[in-house]
Amino acid sequence: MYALKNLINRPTRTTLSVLGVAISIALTITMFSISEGIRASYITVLEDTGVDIYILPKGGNLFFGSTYIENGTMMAKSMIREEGVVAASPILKYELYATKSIDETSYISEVTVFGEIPNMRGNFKDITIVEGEYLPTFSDLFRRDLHYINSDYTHGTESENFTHEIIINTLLAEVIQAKVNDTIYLSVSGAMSYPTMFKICGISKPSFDYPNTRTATMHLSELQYITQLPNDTISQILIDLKNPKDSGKMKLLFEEKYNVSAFVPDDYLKIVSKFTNVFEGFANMVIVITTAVALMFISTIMVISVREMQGEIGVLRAMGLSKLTVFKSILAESLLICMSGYFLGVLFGFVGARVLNWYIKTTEEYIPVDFQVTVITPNVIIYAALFALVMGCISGMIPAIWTTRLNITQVLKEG
Amino acid sequence: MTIKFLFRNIFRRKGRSIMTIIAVAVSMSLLISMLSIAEGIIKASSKDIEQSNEDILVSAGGSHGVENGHAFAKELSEFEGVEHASPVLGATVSFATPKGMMFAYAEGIVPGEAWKIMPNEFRKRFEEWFSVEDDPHYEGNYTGNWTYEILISKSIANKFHLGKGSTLNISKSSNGEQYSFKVVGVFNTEFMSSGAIPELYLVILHLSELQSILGYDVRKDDNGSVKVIDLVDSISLMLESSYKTDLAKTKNLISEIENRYPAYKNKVLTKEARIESAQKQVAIARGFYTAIGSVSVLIGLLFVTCIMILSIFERAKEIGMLRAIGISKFTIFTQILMESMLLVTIGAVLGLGPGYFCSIGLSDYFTKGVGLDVELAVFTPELILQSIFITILIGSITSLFPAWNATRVSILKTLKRI
Repeated sequence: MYALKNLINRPTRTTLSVLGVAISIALTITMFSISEGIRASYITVLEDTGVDIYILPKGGNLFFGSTYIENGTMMAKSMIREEGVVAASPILKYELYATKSIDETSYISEVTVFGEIPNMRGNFKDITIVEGEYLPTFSDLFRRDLHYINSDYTHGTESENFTHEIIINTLLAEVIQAKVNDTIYLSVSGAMSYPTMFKICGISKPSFDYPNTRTATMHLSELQYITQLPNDTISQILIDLKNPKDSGKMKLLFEEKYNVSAFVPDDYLKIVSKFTNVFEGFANMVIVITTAVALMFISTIMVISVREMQGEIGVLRAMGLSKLTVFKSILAESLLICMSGYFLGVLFGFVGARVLNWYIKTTEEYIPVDFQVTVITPNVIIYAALFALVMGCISGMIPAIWTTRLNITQVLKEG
Repeated sequence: MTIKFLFRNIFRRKGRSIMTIIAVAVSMSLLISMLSIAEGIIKASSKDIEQSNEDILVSAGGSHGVENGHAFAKELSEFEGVEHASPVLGATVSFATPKGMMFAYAEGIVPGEAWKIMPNEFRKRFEEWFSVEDDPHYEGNYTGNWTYEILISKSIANKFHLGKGSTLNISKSSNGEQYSFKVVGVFNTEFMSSGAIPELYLVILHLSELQSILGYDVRKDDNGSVKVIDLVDSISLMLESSYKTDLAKTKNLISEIENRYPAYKNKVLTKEARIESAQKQVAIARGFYTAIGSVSVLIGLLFVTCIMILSIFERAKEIGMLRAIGISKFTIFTQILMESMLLVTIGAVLGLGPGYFCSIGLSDYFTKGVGLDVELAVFTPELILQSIFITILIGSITSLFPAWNATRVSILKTLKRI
């Protein structure tokens, strides 16, 4: 009560001190909310896609690139037969060029095309259709066509087994001004030589992995055929397991048996953590510096306040108040400032994290729509509370020790 | 009001003034290091483009979209103002190691042309170069001899104990046909093989050989005839010196190219446009780091405000007396504002030194942590002025309150107390 009364008696300096601590705490919360946000968003998305294992060509890296696997569909079919595997979906990723019509005035856009086999993709949720439908022909019909089997590359696209079905994402649809049921042309060259016509059956929203990329999805064999990639070439296989907890064991099995590189979502998060750890180290440094400034602030103000109160403290000590009681009272004052600053700082921190999330998402086009740049978890709040407590203790300690060393007689003489 | 007078007032209470100055200096050092790193990130994003001699880049907007790369480059080199034209193809390839297949970033070039437009800064990375300067396998229809020459990055050489004269087997896929290449040299990269970015492997080979490995050389048309397609990512143009310095001439040249090759309309970019685009992608760093630095400075400056308010409280009698003998409110306001600003300025100037070392340390921490050998600490006079400006701007705002407070000291109350 005594500590509170003292603080209320000095409203301006108390307010400014509380504000100083609050800003420091808000910065701590905002900084830590960034690495928490990045990690939490990746975990959510990885869980949502339903992929338990990513199979890449031997030596490939989930983040930094890989090459191709030949005879990929056969490998995926063999993987499905492994015990505990629900789905194994072979995917080919290839850069092509798309336009709405073959004339000089139509805009030509680069597009990252994914080839997949609809009836092998299981329950993966990596494509969200916003208009139209997913590839209506559920099997990869053209795979059984002689043009494909013989890799003859002559008039194969005219075969009735070549479905010409394609899904494009909203980014591509917007730039080439295409909608569901429109026809578009795809080519391996930006000059649109050797174009193949496709009919849009659906429009999807940009995926988490490719937030700012114009993408399209079609049947795997059709993509392999138009790119003239022989030997059933694919880029990766997505695996869905009956029991995701078996992913570690199955990853080893795939790597050993199929001579591939396999990654589980935890591997993905480990790579993300390497980057967030660098950021956390930086955040710690910023927090330490701002806390040091706040600490100097509070300590100096507390020392000045205690010096002003030395007559009062002398009288109290003369009346029989113990050194410990005075010590505790000064410490309580400092803690009160820091804890008030903490609560205000949490409020500021929430606002700061929200503003930062909004700012980064509106200015940085590479951030996925569903991505939360900042997330305030209970850990962040607890961490900030510890900072405030430590700040309160240290800044109160110096003036509190000083009061215990006061010479009562001298102080009373000085009035 | 002299500086000496202001100093005397400030250092009446040495302890608190020194603490305040230290707090401002620490805040300032954080601000300047944040601004320095932000500038460093922006500069690093476009450093390679700035250093390069690629004055114009012709691409299709994506990967391997430029058709007839060899012939197109030759045609472009014949435009007035173009000194050299170099086609480039980038892709990933697999290579065989005793530990199994690995993947590498491969770049296909025509060695003679690429060397001509390569700036000296990049040339230093290569101790050896290709012995065959042109691209003999191309020969118009990919029937010429293969050189099987390859340059490998130091990361491959060190990891797999390879060097000049070693053999490296390259393939399009991890289980596809392999092509045996002879290592003709080892080069340095800016990847440190440590930190968050894993060990990255890079190789450079003749353009036509990389195209043939990947299938970007020829393709069958609907009639079954094999046609040369010669796909590359881009063609880099180095301009004559009179064009380099004349933006109007460069723009005219771009218009000419776009008119003759309409498929590449709006995809022929100047160096400046590419720098702008690269910097735009990391421009967010400036806002983010400036905000962090400014918040830190704000805490330091709140400290100054608080100290100045205490000082006014203690000097209420003095201020009251000054007012009583006719000193105007404005003079009192200015004096307190100046005292406060002097504290801020001393702190800001003292913070420059630690700020410099802090930015060097931060740059080192980031580059080692991420694994990129780039310099992120930028310390220019503009940056110093910018930091001092931000500090003084926030300082002058926070100093207004104590200065205004000083003008509210009641003359009557003060005189009664004497």
